[in-house]
Amino acid sequence: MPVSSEQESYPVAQFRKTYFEECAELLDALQSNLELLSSGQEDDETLHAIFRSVHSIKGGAGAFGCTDLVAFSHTFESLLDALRDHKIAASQEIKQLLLRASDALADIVNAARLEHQLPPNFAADTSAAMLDALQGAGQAFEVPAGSAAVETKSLSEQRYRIRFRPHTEMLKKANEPLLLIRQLRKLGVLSTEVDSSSLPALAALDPEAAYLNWTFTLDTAVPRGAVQDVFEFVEDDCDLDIELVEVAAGPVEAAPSDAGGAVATAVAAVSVAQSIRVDVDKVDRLVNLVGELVISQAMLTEQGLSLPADKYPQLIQGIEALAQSARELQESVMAIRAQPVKSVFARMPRIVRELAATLGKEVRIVTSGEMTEIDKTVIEQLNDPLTHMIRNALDHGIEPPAERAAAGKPRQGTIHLSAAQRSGRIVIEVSDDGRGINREKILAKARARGLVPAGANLSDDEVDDLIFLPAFSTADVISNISGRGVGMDVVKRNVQALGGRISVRSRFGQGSSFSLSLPLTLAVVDGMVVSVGGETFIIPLVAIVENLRPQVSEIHPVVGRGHVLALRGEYLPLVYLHRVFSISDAIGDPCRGIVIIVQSENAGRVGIVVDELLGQQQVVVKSLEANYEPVDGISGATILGNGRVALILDVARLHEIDIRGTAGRLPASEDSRTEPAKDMIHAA
Amino acid sequence: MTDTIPTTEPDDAGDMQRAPHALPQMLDLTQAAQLREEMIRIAADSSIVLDASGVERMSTPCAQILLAAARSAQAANKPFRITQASELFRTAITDLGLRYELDKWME
Repeated sequence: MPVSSEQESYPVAQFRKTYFEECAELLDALQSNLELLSSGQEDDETLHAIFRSVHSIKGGAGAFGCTDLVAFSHTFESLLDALRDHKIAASQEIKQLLLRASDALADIVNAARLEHQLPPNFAADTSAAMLDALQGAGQAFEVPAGSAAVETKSLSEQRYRIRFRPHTEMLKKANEPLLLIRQLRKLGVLSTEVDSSSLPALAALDPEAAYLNWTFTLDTAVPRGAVQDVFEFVEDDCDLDIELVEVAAGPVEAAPSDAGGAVATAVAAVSVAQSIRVDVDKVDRLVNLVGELVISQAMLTEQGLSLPADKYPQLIQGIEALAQSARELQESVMAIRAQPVKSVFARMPRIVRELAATLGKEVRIVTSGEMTEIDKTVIEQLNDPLTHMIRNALDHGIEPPAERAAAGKPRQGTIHLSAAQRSGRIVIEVSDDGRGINREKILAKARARGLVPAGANLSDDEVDDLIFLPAFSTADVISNISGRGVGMDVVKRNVQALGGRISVRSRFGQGSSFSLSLPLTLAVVDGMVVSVGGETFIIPLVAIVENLRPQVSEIHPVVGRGHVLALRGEYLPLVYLHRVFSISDAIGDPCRGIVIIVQSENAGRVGIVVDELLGQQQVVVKSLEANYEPVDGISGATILGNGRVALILDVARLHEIDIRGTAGRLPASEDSRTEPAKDMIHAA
Repeated sequence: MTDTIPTTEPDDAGDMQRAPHALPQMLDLTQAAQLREEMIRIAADSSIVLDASGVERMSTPCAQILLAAARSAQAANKPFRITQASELFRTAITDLGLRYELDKWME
């Protein structure tokens, strides 16, 4: 019998988990669309999208007996429905109310997920305000109860088309389709089409034979296994075909079923992209396996190089084809794990709203580039630093309305949150139009604490960077933007652990802008393999501008700063890799070795001096944090085709380490940070 | 209300104002054969009026028979009506997807 291939049975706990996972996505979507509505986008599509999110949350809630959630979302949904039908105008008050309701809904969902009991009157004021708005518009409001709630329960994400053709004898075995249909209805919103064309005339009819066939369209939050379970006891007595049609794209009214005659096919167009929900662990496992495959392929390629091409042409051709396929496979697998940063960005408006209310400030948040995609491993780690930066901007950057007005600024402050892909990395910026960093105060405090030598003359950027020092994270803070006990040093550490960097630009009185630069993935990198002394390093290809062997006349010494390379009218600082990592037997003269010009976000262009180039290779990144410990100047390690471990350079840090190592202008504690790198290199 | 199909007294032939045939309380599988016989029997009447007010259990086989009876009556150009259908009857017909077609004959 043509049943679905998926035979797993799903325990209730699994449905529940799936439901709440979907709730998180629906709440994110709700939040984003409400923000659009607030910013004036009041078109039908936005209103429908808002309605759909709440509708879907309510739909599943009923199935899991979350009565609080059903009740609240029903009120919410009624208000949205009236808004959608233009019976209530999207006034500023209503928009604010919707935002409050969305926050409350998120809390109620969370409580339901954790099975926590909410206070008895939780969000009662919001519910009351929504009912008032409904009654004010003369809208009837029905409390969902019993079957009525089931009838109004609506779609969630999956839409299944179920073709059910009982065998003639099925009814005689006391199997009643009516009961199956009612079971199905409990899973979501069901639309029923019956085909009664096989029903004979009364005289020819066998009273106990089955003549009706059904095609159901079910919008549900439960997986296919649960749908199939409904038919468990009649599997041998019917033809059953369960098909995932689409991710439900719009509200479908649970209308009375269709004509009894011919079955209307293709109710819902299959044009919407299909998707399946896969456990992240399975994808991670796939990514790891592909990583291992790429390493094996690199080893094969290396072995292949030693073979005479004329003797084994097919083998070599095969190895090349394998390399190509392995790369495509890896890119495809990584694409599965990529997600838009929207999922993180969508949480920020609520933080802004709540904190602004607490602080008595007027702040709006503007986001852009939400659809920029980034590997899931990075996304997961993004929330905390981003939240902290937003809180800082609000708490210490944006001034109170009166102060802003006095300074000639609009009373409402603005925080911009943006994401963009740049040079193979994702750059996320949090900027505000607040008061900016007061450098004089920061410098004074840093001097008082002995963090900066008395005679040191720091540039503006260097002063700004002081806010990332741990000592500025204590409660006794004078900086305008750090503070709150957990400081920017923690943010910086978290970001660095991700292979990212954070920097700040600020203009006193005009605002600050924090920039986070993160790798798109933590799993693979295209690298240039270089050797220094007896060691091998990988330099990420995205950072490399060019390679060259300079003339003696192009190298110039700079007092206290090593050497610079004169290149087409520009002077680039040179970083000797063997000095940074204390490697002996390396070529010290750049004119005999190779200079690799790299571009970094914070240091501009820098020349890295190495002995020689060994080739380009895609390498699988193995985390140093997970397998050893973080090492300054190194972003990870990899296994090369010859089986040896090579370290991947963090090019942006090299220049800084080199300066501090040679000039020692900043705190002494920083100097020792390359020590683990030396150990690591010798261990490798 | 009983579990069996009440036989109605034959009325004067040609009388259009015949009393409705009351459908039994339980229209489950066990009643299907009897319901079919009854429907065939009354098919000869000039008009068919079924009282579904007392139906408390409904099944697919009986729904099939009622639909076949309605279609037969329609084919024979005879009036066919289901009156005062109980909530349970209506819900069952709706759940089975037959409401759209049977609505033509329901009051």
